[in-house]
Amino acid sequence: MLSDLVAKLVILLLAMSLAAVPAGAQEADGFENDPASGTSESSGSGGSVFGSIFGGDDLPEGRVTDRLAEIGLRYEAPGGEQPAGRTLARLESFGPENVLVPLQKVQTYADGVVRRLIDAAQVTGLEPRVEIVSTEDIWGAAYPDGTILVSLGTLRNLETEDEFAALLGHELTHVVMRHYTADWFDEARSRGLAAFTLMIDIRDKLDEQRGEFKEEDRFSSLKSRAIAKGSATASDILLDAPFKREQEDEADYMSIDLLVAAGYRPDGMIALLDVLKTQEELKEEARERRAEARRAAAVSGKGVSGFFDQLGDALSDIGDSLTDALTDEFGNDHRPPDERVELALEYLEREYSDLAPRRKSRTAWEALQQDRDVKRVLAGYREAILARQSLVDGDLAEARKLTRAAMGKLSAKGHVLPRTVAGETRAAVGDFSGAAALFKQGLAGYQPSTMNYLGLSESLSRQRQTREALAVLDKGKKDLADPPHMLPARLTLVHLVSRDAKGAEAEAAQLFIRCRLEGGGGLEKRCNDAASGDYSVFLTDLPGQSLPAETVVREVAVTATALNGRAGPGGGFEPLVSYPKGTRLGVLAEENGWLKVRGPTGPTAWVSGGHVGPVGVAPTAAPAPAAAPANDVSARLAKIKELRAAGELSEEEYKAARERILNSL
Amino acid sequence: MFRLLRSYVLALVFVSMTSFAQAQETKVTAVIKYRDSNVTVFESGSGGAAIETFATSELHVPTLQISEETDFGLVKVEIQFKNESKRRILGWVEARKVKTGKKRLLDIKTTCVEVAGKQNTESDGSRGFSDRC
Repeated sequence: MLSDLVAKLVILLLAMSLAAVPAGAQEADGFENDPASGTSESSGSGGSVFGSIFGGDDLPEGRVTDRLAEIGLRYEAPGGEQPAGRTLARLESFGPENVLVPLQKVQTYADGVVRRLIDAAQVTGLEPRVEIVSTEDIWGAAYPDGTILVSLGTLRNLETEDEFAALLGHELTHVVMRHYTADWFDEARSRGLAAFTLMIDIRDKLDEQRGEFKEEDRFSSLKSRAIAKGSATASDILLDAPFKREQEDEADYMSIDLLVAAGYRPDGMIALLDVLKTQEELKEEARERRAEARRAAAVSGKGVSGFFDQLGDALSDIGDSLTDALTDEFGNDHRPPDERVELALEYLEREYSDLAPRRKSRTAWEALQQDRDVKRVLAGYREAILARQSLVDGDLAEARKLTRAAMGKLSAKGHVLPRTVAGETRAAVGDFSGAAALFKQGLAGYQPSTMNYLGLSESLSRQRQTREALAVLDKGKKDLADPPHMLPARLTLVHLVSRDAKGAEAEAAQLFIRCRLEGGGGLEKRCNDAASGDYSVFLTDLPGQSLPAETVVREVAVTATALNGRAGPGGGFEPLVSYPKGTRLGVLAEENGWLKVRGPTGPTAWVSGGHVGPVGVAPTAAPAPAAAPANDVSARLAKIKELRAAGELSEEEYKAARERILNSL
Repeated sequence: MFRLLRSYVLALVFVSMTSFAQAQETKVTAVIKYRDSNVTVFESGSGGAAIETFATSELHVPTLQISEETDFGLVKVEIQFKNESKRRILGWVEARKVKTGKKRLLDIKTTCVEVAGKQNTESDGSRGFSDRC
């Protein structure tokens, strides 16, 4: 209880003290101009933070572009150019299908539009670079060095260059108005939260290892986490989100200014926001369908877990719903699209009501959309992404068909995604030689993707080329080391554990801690994935290593209509595969009511124990601990843990056996 | 033969003009309400001279005359006044000034459905256009 209170106080004090630091404290970043003017001046007439929450719908005084002169028309990127690795790492953190698309025609076209907007803003010193991202959403992002990302979805769905220019104008505003100067607070808070939740996890792990962990402790930890998360969310809602929302508003308004100055139709922004609104509605419908399917699956497979598990899950669900609701309403950086449209219209009406109607800029845009090469790339990436989805769903035939089609369209070097998906598809049917060749092709492109490194090393190891597999991991670790990210950490974990089981646990723990702290709160889930995800599956198949082999201890059958197999033991982990009702699964391990299973196809995954039922005795009998290699401490420890879980070893016997194994070191 | 050829050419011209018009104009189903406090009425679909600017509070919801938005973003409407029931003006207004039933169909097959909370959790200085999945 005391630790809860301390945690609450620490986070709130941290938030308050950081909020009290004058914005000028960021001067260390070396900006040419006072960064405070970049953010505080640009915060609109909402004024104070609380003003933003309760009366933040006021428009800024005058045109936003007028402030550019105060901030400085000469732009100097902080820290020079954005490392390509950083962009890629961030994209990968959204999901493996988010990659850069080499589409020179579109990039050149977009660079021209951005140049037109920069000239209109009269900003100098900024060399824009537009990159295309593979996703189908209508989306864009900007980095302080002027790199602007736009998705393939914009190309597919926007109707005019005015709309495209509105998106680019929005992103450009973030850069030229130095909006990134506000990020220090966000980072401090997320690190504080990460450190606290990590502390809870380490405490629980230590208690567990000492055999002192009780079910009640799990409940208490959940509560502490919920309080910490709630405090962080509160500070975010009160201090951070309004600040960023004002920046987003500013980007919408200034984009309108830039459109007018560059000769575009200003209501390109209105059309763009209207499309965004439709997209949000589509997403909401899809979310509801998914939630409905989940509820149906939950009803069909009533849980058999313990009281504290159920209570914990229920609390967790309530907490998540509450957090989601608060985040949707207040915590997102962007207002709901409805509000954005209304405010943009108001600004447009106030500042440009006397502007004569302009012709829509659509001829060049439509020519680009109809360009044969562009259409081929659009179709190819759609097929590649759908192929991955089919693979996850276990429909191998469809995945192969789509992959072949995508590969046919995207044969040029640089199109990494279809090769990655093709490699994964080959590996899924046991063709590891073909898979390795495809992953190699993917790595020979310009994007050092994590999925390709992992895929190639696994494919090599399955062909008993252990040394080569480890060399690939080494190279991947170096290629993906900047910025500090969960992906190199994940590779390192794989590497360490595979190379040396004895010292691996401690080093892996250190890396995990680094991943959690350096990654910040937002990466917590992904660091967990890195630590408990499919690396153990990979290890099982490394030949010639003294590795803990995973053994099927029993078999179960799926009782739900469709059961998600996830990357880790919990509902928050990413779904990897979906098992239909009746599928037989081999259980490899059990943790907190979740089972690590191997299905007929696809990777090993974790499923909720509440949605499976017994089907009989395990086909492969678990070997006795003595059968494990004498030097394989991890395997022996894992085995006695399994036996204790199965009730075949008492607590005392388990402790004695554990002591004997550790003493043997 | 000549007559057949002429019909064929005319048909081709008609088809290509129709498809050109479709490409250049956006269909608007109906006007639901005014979006702004003022609306300017223009003489033609390409703007031209403004007839007059009215306060929308004085007007009834306009009646759509042609369900196409021109390349200048204008729609043809009939304006009716609340206080002068007999007064009517036919003209063109900017489509953005009226809320219409138009809803663009999006061609998105693989949109993610899980929103990963706030977008900028990584504090790398980046900003986006909308909250990312």
